[in-house]
Amino acid sequence: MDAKKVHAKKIQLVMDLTALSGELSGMIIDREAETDPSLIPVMQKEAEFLRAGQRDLIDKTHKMQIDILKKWIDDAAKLQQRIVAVNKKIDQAKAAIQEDATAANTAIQVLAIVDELLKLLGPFLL
Amino acid sequence: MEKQGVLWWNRGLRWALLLLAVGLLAACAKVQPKPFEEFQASVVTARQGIEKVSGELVQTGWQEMGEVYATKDMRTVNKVLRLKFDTANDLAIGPEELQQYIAKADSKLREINQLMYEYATRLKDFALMDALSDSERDSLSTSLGDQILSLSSKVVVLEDTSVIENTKDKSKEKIKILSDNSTKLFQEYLKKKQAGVLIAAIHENQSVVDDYSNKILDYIRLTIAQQIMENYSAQFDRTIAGFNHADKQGRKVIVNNLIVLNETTIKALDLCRTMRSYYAALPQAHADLEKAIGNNKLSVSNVHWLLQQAVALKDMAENTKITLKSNE
Repeated sequence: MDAKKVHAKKIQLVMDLTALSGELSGMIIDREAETDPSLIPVMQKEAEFLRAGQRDLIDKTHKMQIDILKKWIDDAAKLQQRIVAVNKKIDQAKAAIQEDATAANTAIQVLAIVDELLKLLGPFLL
Repeated sequence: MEKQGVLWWNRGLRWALLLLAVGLLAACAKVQPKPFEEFQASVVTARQGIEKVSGELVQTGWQEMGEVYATKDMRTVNKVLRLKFDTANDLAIGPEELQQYIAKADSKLREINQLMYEYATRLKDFALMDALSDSERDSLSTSLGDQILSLSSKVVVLEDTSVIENTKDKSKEKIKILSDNSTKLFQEYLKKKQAGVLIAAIHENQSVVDDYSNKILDYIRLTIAQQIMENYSAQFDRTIAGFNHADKQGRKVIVNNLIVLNETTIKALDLCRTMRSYYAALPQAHADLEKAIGNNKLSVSNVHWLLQQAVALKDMAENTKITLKSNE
């Protein structure tokens, strides 16, 4: 499996574990809500057991989430550099086109000089 | 001699028509700016939406921490909240590492969004760019016309002084056409160059936009959606906790609070879905910008849809209270 697929699976796992933790909350509340006095001690023990499991699950999920976030931050920094390079290239291309326009204006000025020269030389040419 | 002058002009006119034909061909490369404007506007608008949601979630995270640890003993607060300074990589990380990393990722998200905004703005500006200002274009057209007229009339004068008056008026019109076309041709040359640069930039940058989009999609799932789910669960537990010991009125309040919490969470998750569909569609819309170059009739539906989606996203973000604060 390539790195991209592993990365996608890890993110899916974080979300699945978070959803599972939510379901565990519901199960814990069910047990804690028990009102039958004979069942309360058993249900309390079950709720405690489930709560400990949930804490462990949340802790492990957070650790996994942190690992993925560390990589996300590193990758985002690399992406930043790539976008900066692309933006620089566009700026350079824009400058080149503007240089062309400037060259055209220079050509007009050259033509004007030639025209002036011809005016001066006119009497001699005729 | 008069015949020779007319022949000279016929030849000139033929060249002018040839140049005109080349000019018309080059005109096909004209850049259609609307999709670029819509693409840029969508990036700006979506950015406002996602950053609002992400910022609120980070804020909620810190508030939740405050609420949770306010009820703990001093030893726990000291253990949990005191930062540990890791001098090796210059990061201050406490036991509540996740919240720290989410805040750090939020800040990185804003940085890459800013760069993506700059990229989209550059593309738009480039598509709209007119290398020659109106005055420069006028001067180019007039000066070229005048100077070619001036120079060529001198050539005619040199050929035969007897035809000066007759030829000058006719040639003035012909030279005007020639000079106008030269200006157009030069403009088209610039436009063609502009279109070429845009096509190359979009092509080269497609992988960057793909990666950017994937990064944001990961961010939405890993932090925004995950935080919404986790906050919901914690908030639901806290709200329902006192139900058994509450009187009828108290229970009513708890139930109402749970309903409000559900509504808020459903809206927040809807917002996540809209964000997901926007960022999933971004790479295709970016690729479609290439089609917009040189095709004025093509409707770039993906880009247009993207803009609508971004507007919806921003509206939803403004109207959805992401902060899942205590309703107790």
